[in-house]
Amino acid sequence: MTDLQLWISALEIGSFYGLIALCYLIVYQGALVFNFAIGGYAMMAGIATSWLATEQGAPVWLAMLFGVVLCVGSSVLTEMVVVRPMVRRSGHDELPKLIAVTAVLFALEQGAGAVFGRGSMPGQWLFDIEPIEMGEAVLDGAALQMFVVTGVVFALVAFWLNATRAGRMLRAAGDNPVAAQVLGLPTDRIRLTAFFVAGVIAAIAGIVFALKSGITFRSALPWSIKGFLAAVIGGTGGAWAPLVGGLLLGAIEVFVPFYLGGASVDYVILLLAAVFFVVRPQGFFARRIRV
Amino acid sequence: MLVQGKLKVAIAAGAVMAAIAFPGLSHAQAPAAKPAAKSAPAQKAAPPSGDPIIFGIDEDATGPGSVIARMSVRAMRLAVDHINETGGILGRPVKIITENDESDATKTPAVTRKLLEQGANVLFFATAGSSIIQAKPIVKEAKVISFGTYTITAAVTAPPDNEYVFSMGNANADVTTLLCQGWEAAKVKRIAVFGDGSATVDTILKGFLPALGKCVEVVTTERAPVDANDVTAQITRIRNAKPDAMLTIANGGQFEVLVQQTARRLMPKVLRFSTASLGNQPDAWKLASPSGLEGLIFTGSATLSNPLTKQLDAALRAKHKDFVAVAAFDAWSWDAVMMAKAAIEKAGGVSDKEKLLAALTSISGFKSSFGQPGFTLSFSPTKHVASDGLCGMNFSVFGKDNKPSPQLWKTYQPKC
Repeated sequence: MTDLQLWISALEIGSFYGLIALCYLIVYQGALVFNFAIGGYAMMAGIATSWLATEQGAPVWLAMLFGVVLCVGSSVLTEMVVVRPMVRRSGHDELPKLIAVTAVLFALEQGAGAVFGRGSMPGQWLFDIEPIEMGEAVLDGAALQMFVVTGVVFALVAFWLNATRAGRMLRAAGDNPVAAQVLGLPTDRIRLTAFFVAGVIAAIAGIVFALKSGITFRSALPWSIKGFLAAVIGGTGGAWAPLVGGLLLGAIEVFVPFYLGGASVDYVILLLAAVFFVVRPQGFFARRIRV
Repeated sequence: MLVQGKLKVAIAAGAVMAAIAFPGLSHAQAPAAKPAAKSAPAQKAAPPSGDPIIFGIDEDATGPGSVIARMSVRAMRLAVDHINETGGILGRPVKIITENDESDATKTPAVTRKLLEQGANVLFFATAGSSIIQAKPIVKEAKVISFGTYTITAAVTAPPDNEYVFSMGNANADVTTLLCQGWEAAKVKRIAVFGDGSATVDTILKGFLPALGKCVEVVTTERAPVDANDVTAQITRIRNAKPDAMLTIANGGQFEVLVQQTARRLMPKVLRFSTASLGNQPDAWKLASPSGLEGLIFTGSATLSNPLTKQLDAALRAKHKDFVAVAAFDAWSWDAVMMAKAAIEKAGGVSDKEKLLAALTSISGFKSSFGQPGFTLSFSPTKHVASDGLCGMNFSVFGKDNKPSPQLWKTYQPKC
């Protein structure tokens, strides 16, 4: 546990999982659904950015803008075309929405493969950042960007949730949707806002994480799964909870292979997930709801 | 209360998705490596006519091997275009039909039957070795000669039910022999092996490790899921085991780029070898950071010093504007089509299936589009792998530009 390089890796992938988990949390607060399409949005942003920059020769900043717009558009459309009609038909029944957003995930995955190609694509650098040597360890530019982006995003979201009217409405709707409706809160708008914000965060996460080793249309499902696990582990108790879940998952992904070998990591993660599902489904940080 | 209640449904869905998603607990996919090419400039000939000879292709178009299959099918289409432009086969045109099994062995039998029902006279499997194995009894029953265009899995062409099944590139036993020869020349005594978590690599490792253990000490074997986001832990374990060299056995792509970059960063003085999946995937080289692949030595098959390889490279370059470089998968596939053509011409058609098999298994001295200059291919009733010896391979090495250097590895090359 004293190898700094391992800690850097754990923090890097943990930060990414934390960002995806944050998207889950925000959508859950606004729509009371675990949006499994989140990994699909992030993949879409990363792969669209790479495609436009490398295959079409567009400037990187323009490609990133395109990726963000596509990702946010996909997220918002999911709310308007898939989730909203279901809410109107079946109220707060969870299962139909879950199935529908999972179908969206697979549609995004195959759609991206068909449109942008099924090969891997390289991540795109907006700024060229030189690696920083720290003794025997190296902090490369991709990891540094991930750390900065994660810190900024979590700080902004924490501020937004706690100190703005929109954020407080989102929390209110998530804490008690029935009461929120009775009180006349604009629940449709709150839900749309949640999908919009989650789309922006997913886009940033996907574009930045693609720098690590590239991106493929197949990234969507594993990202959705890992983000979901991070959300379950962290819980819904606050804006920073997903980061805790993500960092723990990242540490497991790095230190379990180091001590037990690479073949064991998936089993340990699934075991951990099973423990949380059974023993503490509310995660480390549970929401306290006053009824 | 509310949160816990909602979580139950989400957890159930998440558990199902997790079972789908964790490759370490399920399956993945395919092959490995070697290059090549061949054939003559298009000559003016009478356009082919009559009933077409049908080449059925089982292509993994959307599955985990789709990137490799795309290369393979691209070369096969080029070969068929070339055949049709130069008079067809025995004056008849060649028509391609395709189906997609997604490298899913459970789908391959149905896909194979569908191709046969559509009248395929020859089958080409641009899919995983584990999938082709499932098709073997069907092609034997149908008596249709079949080629695994990029598999090097020995079980594909080994009994049982192998009478009509053939492959092109050097099999795994040749690869281990070449590696041992190279390591002896480089005075490598201790190696670490890094494999991806796919079922294909499981199979390869079972054959590789005992064979490698006869010439070097395997100090550690590390694995990581195909979709791993980070391999720092595994590379650190390898570094701690103090090997002279690391051998990567993987399906290439994003995974192997991640492995090679991490290894280069964490143990720059350790020699890195690869069984060439990455070396044969030019589209994946761009994933690497600047100089990220520099120094990686792989058991390649394509060298432009072979004039037929050079010819194929030029033909593909002319046809596809995004073409990067000729690789084994291109050349093996091209040669598979050309050997099928030669067999059909020798048999006088495709109607007598046993005669066609006899014609194919009597081909020898066929000039190969891969391997070192003058390398040849042959089949016999007991030899179903086309390559005639180790000179179908070479040791190539990546340069600073993340592309294989024109200069092969100076320390050792197979004697041809």
